Amino acid sequence: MKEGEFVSIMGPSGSGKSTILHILGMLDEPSTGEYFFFDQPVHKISERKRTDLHREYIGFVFQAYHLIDDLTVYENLETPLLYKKIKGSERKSMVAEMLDRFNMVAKKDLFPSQLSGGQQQLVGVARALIMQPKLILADEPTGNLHTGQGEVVMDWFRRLNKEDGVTVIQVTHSDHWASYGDRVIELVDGRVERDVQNESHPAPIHS
Amino acid sequence: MFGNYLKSALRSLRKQLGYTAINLFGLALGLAVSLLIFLFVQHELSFDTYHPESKNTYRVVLDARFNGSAMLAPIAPAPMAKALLADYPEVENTARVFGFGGELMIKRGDAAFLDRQIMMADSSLFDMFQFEFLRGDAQTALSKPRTIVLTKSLADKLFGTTDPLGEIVILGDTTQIEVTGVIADLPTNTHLQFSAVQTMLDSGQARNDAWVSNNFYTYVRLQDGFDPDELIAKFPTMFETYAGPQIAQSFGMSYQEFLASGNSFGYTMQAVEDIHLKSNFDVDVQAPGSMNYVILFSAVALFILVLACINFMNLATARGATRAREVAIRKTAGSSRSQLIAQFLSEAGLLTSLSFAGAIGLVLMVLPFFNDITGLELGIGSLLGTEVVVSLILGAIVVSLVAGLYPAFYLSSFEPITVLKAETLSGSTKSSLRNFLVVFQFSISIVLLIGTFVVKNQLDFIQNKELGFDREHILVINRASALRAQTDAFKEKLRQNSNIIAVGASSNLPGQIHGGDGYIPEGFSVEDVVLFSPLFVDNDFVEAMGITMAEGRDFSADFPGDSSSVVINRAALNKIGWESGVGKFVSQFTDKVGPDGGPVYDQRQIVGVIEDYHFMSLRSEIGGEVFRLADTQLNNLIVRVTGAEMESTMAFIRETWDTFLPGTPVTVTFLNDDFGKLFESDQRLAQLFTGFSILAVIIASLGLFGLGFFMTEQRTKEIGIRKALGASFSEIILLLSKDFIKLVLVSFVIAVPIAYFGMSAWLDDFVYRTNIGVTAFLLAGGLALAIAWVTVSYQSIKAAKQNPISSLRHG
Repeated sequence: MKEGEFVSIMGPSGSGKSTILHILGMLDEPSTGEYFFFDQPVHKISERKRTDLHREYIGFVFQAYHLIDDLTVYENLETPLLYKKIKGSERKSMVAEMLDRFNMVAKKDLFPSQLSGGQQQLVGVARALIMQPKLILADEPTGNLHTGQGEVVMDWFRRLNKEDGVTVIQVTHSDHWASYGDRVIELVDGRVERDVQNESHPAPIHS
Repeated sequence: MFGNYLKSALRSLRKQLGYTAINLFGLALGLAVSLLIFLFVQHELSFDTYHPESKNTYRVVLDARFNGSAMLAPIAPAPMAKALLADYPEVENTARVFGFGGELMIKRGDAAFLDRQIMMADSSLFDMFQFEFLRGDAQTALSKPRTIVLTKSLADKLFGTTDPLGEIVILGDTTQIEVTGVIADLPTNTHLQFSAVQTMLDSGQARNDAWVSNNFYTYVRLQDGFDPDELIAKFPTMFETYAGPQIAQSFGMSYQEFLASGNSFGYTMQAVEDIHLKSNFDVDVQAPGSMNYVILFSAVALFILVLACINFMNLATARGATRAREVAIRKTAGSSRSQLIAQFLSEAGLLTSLSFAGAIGLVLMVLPFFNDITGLELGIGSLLGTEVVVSLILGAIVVSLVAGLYPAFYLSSFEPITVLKAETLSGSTKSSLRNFLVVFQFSISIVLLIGTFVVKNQLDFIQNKELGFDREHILVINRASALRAQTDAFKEKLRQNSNIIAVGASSNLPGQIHGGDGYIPEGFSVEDVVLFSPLFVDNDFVEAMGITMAEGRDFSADFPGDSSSVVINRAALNKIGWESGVGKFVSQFTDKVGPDGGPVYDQRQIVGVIEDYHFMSLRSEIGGEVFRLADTQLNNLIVRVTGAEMESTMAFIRETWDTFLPGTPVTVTFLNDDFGKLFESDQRLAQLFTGFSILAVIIASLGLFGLGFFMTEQRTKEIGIRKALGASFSEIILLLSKDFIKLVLVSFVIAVPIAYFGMSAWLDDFVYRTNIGVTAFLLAGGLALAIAWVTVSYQSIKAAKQNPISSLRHG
């Protein structure tokens, strides 16, 4: 994978899509092979260092949203910033900006259970973005959403990719959602079956 | 950061109210018990430490051997205090205290009270120990004859609002005595309890120069830092100098011969701070506390606290399944493990702090009952002392760490990948550590339960034991010596009541302290003195007590010679080694010297032998006792009644007393109650033990309840599948309760030997004791099992009743 790409990973259940994503996100370790993140050999470095890398560069979006039920929208967005030890005032402005960007200012004091699935996923995306990651990993981000809600999420991914140069890697079942990516990788039984550049979206220019 | 932790902690606690309540309540309960015990232990350890010079203050202890019988008591001869002060420069001051042990009447005008705690003391007592003088002057208060210092409460009873200073009270029957001081009531944490103290100058005995008669509590203050052993090492020389000539005179042998025949009058000293917990003499100012109880209760407190912490840990880890998702999300949001540990620890800290608040509330609620049982006077103030507050804060930190660390490490160890991937969150239903902790809890609970049953059994045993006298039907009139010459008339008057069978008199009552006199049985040499307890009685004592004669006859008015005869008990007969005693003689030393310069003995013939009765506490074996007739010194009238119309009989006794001695108070008690008082500390132990074991069981059950809740929740799907496959209601219940029941059974097996050895050791303290028996064990085991089963089955039944589809659909 190159920096700045928007990659969709497809494949049948059990083909290893999610595993790849988890390895990339440093939540899992590869049984064989090597994984370099920038120049860092992830398969070799300590857990603390991995946490640092993870914290610094990676944002996660899940199919099941995975928001903390006991925290409000505002607090959910704030959580990653707390772990990064960002100061109160700065934190406030970052959360406010994110709420503003996703048009969720009015919902900031609601709990996840009070939101629709699409809204929850937007919070999930916003939470992934708040730390301004270089890499967004999305595990079937639209899997639980209506098409309309899915479009919103996907539009966000595309904008982030194009405008902010954020690398996006998503796992999906659907050709439709996969087509948002510049590159589609198809996995079968853990092997790369096909790896194609999407015609409508030429590969971005790299620095 | 902390705010975020706190917020999510508070909200998650609020959402799982049941869990929170169980956890809070269990921990608060455990903490409350520990706190109470802490206060109790702190009180016990604080005895006599508050005097400025307490570290340098000691009490003389007699350690004598008299023909094989050891005598160990904190008493010394009257002249010793003066000699110590005069002869040894390291002795800064001495003070003697004399407690006569019985009731004394103190009277002012119409206000008359019987008081057991009026003592006599040298004026130096107020220099020796710290007393707060409200009126009068510590220096001079007892420096003149016929003076007395009252405690505030006695002064209030006698004088009300009048200033007592310089007023006259009547002590005993006629002695007029001036109140020269009023001191604040003594704190509960001193061994030297009194309600009033009369000057020692009024005691003739105190001026006596006899070194072989030990009657005075003697306190010694040494120079700061002086080693008491150095002074103790000088005691033998001092004793020989002063007592040698006196011994030569009364025993007819030189001091060296006296020692050579195995006798000794040795003295040591004990630190005043050690008196309460580290001594247990038959004779003492007040019944001592027990270091064993302090240790036992501290252990119980620790155990109960551990139980509560275990609950906390168990519930927190069992709840892991519900927290796992949050952990995973936080980890993917960039949390490090240490940050999560910090989060869970702050959660534990929050719960612990709330529990501490709850515990303090509980303690304040039960404090009156606790004071009642323990005889302490703890108040809110006791909770505000620096020591207590510091301990509370430290305790909160330690408990948070102990209870929070394991769950924090456990919960923070979840791998986000496993949690997020999993369809259902199945926390482990079988954790060996958790099982171990449950077994630990129930073992402790069962040990405490068995302990409770055994203590209760022993107390019942004591309560119902045949004592050798008619324990149910004896009334005692105290201070009967006040009747003086009217005694016989009074007895005669009582006997006219048809409900009164017999009236006798004695110097001491069963259970009271009985001294020891040396007797030389006929045919024995002077060196073979045996020690028997003397009891002065009248002709009717044996009949009034309902004691059985074994041989010979009781004293009788028909035999005028009986005033120089004795009746002995079977134990004395056995100790001498005689088959039969009637007609034989026993002799006693006297302080008289014969015309030839040799000693004179007081020889008395045995006219009867009684069957043994328990005149001492059941902790000791029945010793030898010798009855002698006396007219005076008979403090107690023993009234044997039929038991019918008790109230009117009691009223009759009081009315009769009033006609004989108008305006003098009288105390009539049941002998059985007085005897029972000997076991008051055991009764308290039983009450406390019962309370603690109930609490331990409650705490363990709370834990089990919570565990059952989470286990059942996690197995909901399994239950659904099993029901769909046709499992019956009872099969589901069995499935769910089986594991816990097994744990309780294992706990029982572990608890039995521990309880057996522990309780055997306790029972060994009693010479007359019940057997431990299987019943206590079965009862305790059965109870624990029943409680555990009820606790768990509540959850099981709920789960088993659930519609299988409802749990499967949500998979």
